Amino acid sequence: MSSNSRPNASGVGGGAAVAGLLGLTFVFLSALVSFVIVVEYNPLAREFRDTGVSVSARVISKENLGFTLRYALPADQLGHPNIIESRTVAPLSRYDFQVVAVGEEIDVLVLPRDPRLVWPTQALPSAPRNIYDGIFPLILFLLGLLGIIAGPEVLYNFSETLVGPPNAKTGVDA
Amino acid sequence: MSDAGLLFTVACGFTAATYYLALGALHERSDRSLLFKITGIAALILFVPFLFDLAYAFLSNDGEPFRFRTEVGIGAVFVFIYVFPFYGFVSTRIFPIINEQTVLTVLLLLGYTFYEIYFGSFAFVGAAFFLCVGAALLVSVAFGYRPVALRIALYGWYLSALLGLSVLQLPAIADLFVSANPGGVFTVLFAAMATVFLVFHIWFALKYFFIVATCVRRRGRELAVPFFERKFSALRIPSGALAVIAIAQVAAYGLNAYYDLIAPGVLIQATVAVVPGLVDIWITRSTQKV
Repeated sequence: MSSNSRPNASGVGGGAAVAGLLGLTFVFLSALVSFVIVVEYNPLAREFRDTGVSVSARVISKENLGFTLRYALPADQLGHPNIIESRTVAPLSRYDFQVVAVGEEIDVLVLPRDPRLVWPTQALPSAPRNIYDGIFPLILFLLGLLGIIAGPEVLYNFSETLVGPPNAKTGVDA
Repeated sequence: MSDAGLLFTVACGFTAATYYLALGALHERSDRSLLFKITGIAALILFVPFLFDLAYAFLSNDGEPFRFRTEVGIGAVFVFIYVFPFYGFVSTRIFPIINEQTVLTVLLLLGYTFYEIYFGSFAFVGAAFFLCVGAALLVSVAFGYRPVALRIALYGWYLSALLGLSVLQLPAIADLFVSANPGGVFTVLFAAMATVFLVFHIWFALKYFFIVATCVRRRGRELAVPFFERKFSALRIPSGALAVIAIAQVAAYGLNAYYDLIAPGVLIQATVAVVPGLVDIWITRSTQKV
């Protein structure tokens, strides 16, 4: 407890208590955000969303087994001399797979580093996450940890401040 | 097992494990009301939705074959698993009281789990190293050298071991619940009890981590040391009783490994659900008498 914080009735300084509670809040927020990031973790889809080039492609065939599509990509749009045959890098959802017909032209995202990697725009997850999205919750967690270290009483429900060795500084003014 | 039977058994297992776990930590007369409050709330969360599902199945039965719908009951089970053990983080009172014997039961259990999963693979070397660290700490604390830092380290090892068990067992338990043939009543009951025990200990481990982190400041140490002195009990089970528990555990694992009597997962879950709790209850009862 900092020396300039005023202890309350339970022997815990106000500043320390606020820091502890704030720290705990930050830690739980970081846990919730981390949970979302883990659930939505999909670095390849994120790469498509960030760097993918949108082109129209014609569906050549559908493969029921893995819910994948084969495409003919327009070579001129990609600066490639020939028509490129490609296939989806990830299985589509049953719905996305069924609404597409062979011969239909649909919008797809193509990775510039490899035009054979294709992801239909409609099937792209709304918010794919990669490892860098973990930085924010990590910072939040560390801030929360600092808060808890500043006000450790929060971990003991503010009830153990008077329990300790005889010479312990209890925070209660003599 | 029918859907209704499965849900009822899971609800029974969760409630029983909550009572059993709380019984191991709440030993004072003043804690009695908290013990019944925790168990009562757990029972309410689990059995009211189950009864709702049952009533709905009866009332909506328009001459068709009886069909039990599990939406509300399953929802309650998930709410319980995600929300209820959080109380283990909030309350310091139900933070478990352990001693060397509790750690020994978990050490034996973890040894058997590692043997079943990793034996013959390279990962077994790492697993064996982890066991050796635990055994070294345990021997040191059990035979005289007991500075508080070492007891806190042993407590940390105990919680890490249960965290490891959670990582290894919870996916298998989840598979059990979604499979078409989950097994008999006792298989499901032990799996449900083990789930509650392990999920509560994930929160205890998080709390332990924060408590240890606060030890970088003097104020944190002043709070943490008496806390762990209370939570790591100096009481020891009589040698005879301890020998019976340890020999029974080793014999059960050895016989099962040799003769394949029951599925190893069931034996592990049954041990998780029963043995550490038994030792905890013994400690708290003895503390009451002192």
